[in-house]
Amino acid sequence: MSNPVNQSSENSAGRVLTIPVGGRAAFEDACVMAATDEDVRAAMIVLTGEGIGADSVEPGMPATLGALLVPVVAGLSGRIDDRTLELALAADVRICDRDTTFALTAVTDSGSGQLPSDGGTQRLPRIVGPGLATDMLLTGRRITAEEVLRAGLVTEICPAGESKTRAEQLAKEIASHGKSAGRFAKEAVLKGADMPLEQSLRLEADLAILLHTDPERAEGIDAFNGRRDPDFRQDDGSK
Amino acid sequence: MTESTFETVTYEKRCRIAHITLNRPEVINAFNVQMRDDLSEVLDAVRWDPDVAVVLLKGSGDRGFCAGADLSEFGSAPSQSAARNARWERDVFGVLRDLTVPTVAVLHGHVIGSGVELALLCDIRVAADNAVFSMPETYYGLIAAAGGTQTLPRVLKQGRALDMLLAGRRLNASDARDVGLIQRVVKSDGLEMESERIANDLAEIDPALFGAIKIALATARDLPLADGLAHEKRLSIMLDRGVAGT
Repeated sequence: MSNPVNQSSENSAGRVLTIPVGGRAAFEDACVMAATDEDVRAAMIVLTGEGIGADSVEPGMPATLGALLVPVVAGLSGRIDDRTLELALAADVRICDRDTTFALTAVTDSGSGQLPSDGGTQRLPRIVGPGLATDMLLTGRRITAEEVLRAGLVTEICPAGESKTRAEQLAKEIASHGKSAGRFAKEAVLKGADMPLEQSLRLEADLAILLHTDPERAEGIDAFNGRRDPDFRQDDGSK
Repeated sequence: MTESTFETVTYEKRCRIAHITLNRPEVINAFNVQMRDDLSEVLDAVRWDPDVAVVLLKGSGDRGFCAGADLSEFGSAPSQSAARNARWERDVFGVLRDLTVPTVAVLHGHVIGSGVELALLCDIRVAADNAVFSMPETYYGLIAAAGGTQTLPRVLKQGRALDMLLAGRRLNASDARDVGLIQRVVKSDGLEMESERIANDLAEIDPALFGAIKIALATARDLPLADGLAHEKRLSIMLDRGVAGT
């Protein structure tokens, strides 16, 4: 796995940070950069389920990824199982290759019989609904890309081998949008999900009003009214 | 039959069905301050009119239901506090959401940003097969502010909502039905007839019963299960005694 810092700086031109999953230190370094580098507008993570495997996604990594304010896109392929799946669930937008499969085997694996402890019992039902989540948890059933698309775990199925490229496109798309807008929209959805609707609407409105102080909002409105594309680069480093 | 025309909205009541039509077709019914005020007046009238059994919310013109907020007026609030006060002093979105009668969003063409948000505040969404849905706010450095970041993930799955809100994914009518954003798709030329048919069916439901269902569904969303079940039981008893849903 390449040095995450080199990889990051290479990508930061596009303001997309790729978070590597080949080793704990590199992963944590990249997450710190995603959290602190003002130029990072979107992050992406590529999970292949091969060479990485459940074992190299270590406990706590999904929590680190899930704590990021910046939107995260996950490109998935191969067998996305157990902690690898839990890491994917901590991303915001997930897409996969056509032949990707998904399973949670911790409970049913006769050798281990463990409780998934990095979000498998919490993020999974919130993302796919309780029916499929319970089925996956209790039976260990391996499910297909088509099934997770219907369940909303992924939002797009790519031709085999193309999920990485497509994830990068989506991350670049997000990176081209307003920086605070993307972060606030993510926060509104994820934090608002835990609130009664009435309070969550207050959160949304307050974030929208807070955004009034953001120069990118003014640029976006000006661009819309001038029938041109917004150019947010001019604000880089000024905040 | 009652008919009123405001600057940006038309209102017609026929056979206990309120037809509310966004009426700025030259800008695909972009939602501006005037429209908020007009809609607020109409909804206030509807809210207290016992003769209204169903609300249909529509957009005039061929091009679409609503192209979103009219950004030409953005930035006109004197301060952030004033903007915040205005949001809650005239909470037209809250009034629409809290109507006790059934509300149906009748959608066609462009359904963008606030257009999607208005639709999400209705109980049922029916769309023409030419409808296209998108939430492009973040592209312009904005976020949805008419409830979209909350209503969208509650209607769709969370991942799909984030995809629309963050990456700006557009959905055609058939995609929108597959993910649950809308419930029915009809041919463009059949939209009016289908929406009237739905409205006529809904008008048959006892208003007290419908009001109770709406409260029960809101409860299911926000309360722990045990409290929701207890509330459902109370609503049922109140309904039997003729005191619920009002």
